Amino acid sequence: MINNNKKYSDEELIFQFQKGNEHAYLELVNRYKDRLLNFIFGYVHSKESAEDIVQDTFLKLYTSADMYREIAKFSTWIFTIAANLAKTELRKRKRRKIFSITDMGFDDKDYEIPSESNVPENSINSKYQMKYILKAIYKLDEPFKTALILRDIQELSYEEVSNIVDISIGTVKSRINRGRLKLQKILKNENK
Amino acid sequence: MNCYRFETLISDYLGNNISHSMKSEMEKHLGECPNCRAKLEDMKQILHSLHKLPKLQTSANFNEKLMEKIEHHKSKKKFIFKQFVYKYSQPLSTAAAVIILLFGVYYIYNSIFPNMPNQKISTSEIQNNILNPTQLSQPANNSINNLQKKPQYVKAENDDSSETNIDQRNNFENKIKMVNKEK
Repeated sequence: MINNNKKYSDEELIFQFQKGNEHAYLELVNRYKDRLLNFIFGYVHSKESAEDIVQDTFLKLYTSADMYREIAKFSTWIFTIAANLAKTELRKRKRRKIFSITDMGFDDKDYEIPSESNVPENSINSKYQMKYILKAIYKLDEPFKTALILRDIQELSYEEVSNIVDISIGTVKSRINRGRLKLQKILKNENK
Repeated sequence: MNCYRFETLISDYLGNNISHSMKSEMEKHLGECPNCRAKLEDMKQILHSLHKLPKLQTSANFNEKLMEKIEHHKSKKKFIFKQFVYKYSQPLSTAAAVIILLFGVYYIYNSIFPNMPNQKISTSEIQNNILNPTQLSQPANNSINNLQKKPQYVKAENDDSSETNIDQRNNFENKIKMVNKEK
């Protein structure tokens, strides 16, 4: 039984779970479910789909916990699983033609916007409204989008992004810079 | 510094990841270029908005749904195992029956004909015994007698001589006849 969860690191919890402690698993779920939801939302732009993918990520964690090795940080490992599942979902959607670039249209009905009830005032009054920013992120090419979400929304370190995306730190920095410039360009065009 | 160079370094500038000299160079460019100045201010606002994006929260019953999924996965696994057993139960039971039957036949055969072992005599032993008949041991004598009745050559386990062929067999038979004549 995990009595005081705060004193355990993610890595200690996964090792406990590998030994059969299901409370450790639940603690990891509670620690990461919201972070992963926001991360996946950047890909699929639907809370329901994002939540399904997060559930699949945790199911994978449950069934493949033995695959985790200490060489990687747990956060890197779980984000990598989630990113792969999100990409698979996007590929499936593309194949099934649930939506396509031409169908997308960027209407609000296609694009679920989080409730603004708890949005800080300064972000609503910001030059760029949240929904335009989210739409602009959605329009980015996948490599730039992933790097940007991980760094600027999830606020992970360059090193963590590098491990998740499996590219060098130099390439991560370059992608983030180019992604930001592209985002800026898209927003500028949208605001015209 | 030109605008293109400034653009490539804009994130490093905002993250304060550049050298002091480069920073001064960029600031010098900012003083001269209103476009880059506007771009920098704009980028600051975008980053601020990105950091302030409202965070989604998983639904209240997320954990319950997850546990249901896990249980479903476990039962599915059991179902797959049961399905496998059901699907292959017939061939598996047939194979088991055949194996048991073969063992049974082998056992019955051995109990009916218990004294039918193959006589294993090494060719070297035969050669030695033929060349020195006075030293023949009883079993070897028996072996020779058996050979006279019905020549049977079985390669012994420890026999390191080459395979017995028909010519060798004829030679042995001739030698046996000669020994008998001398007797």
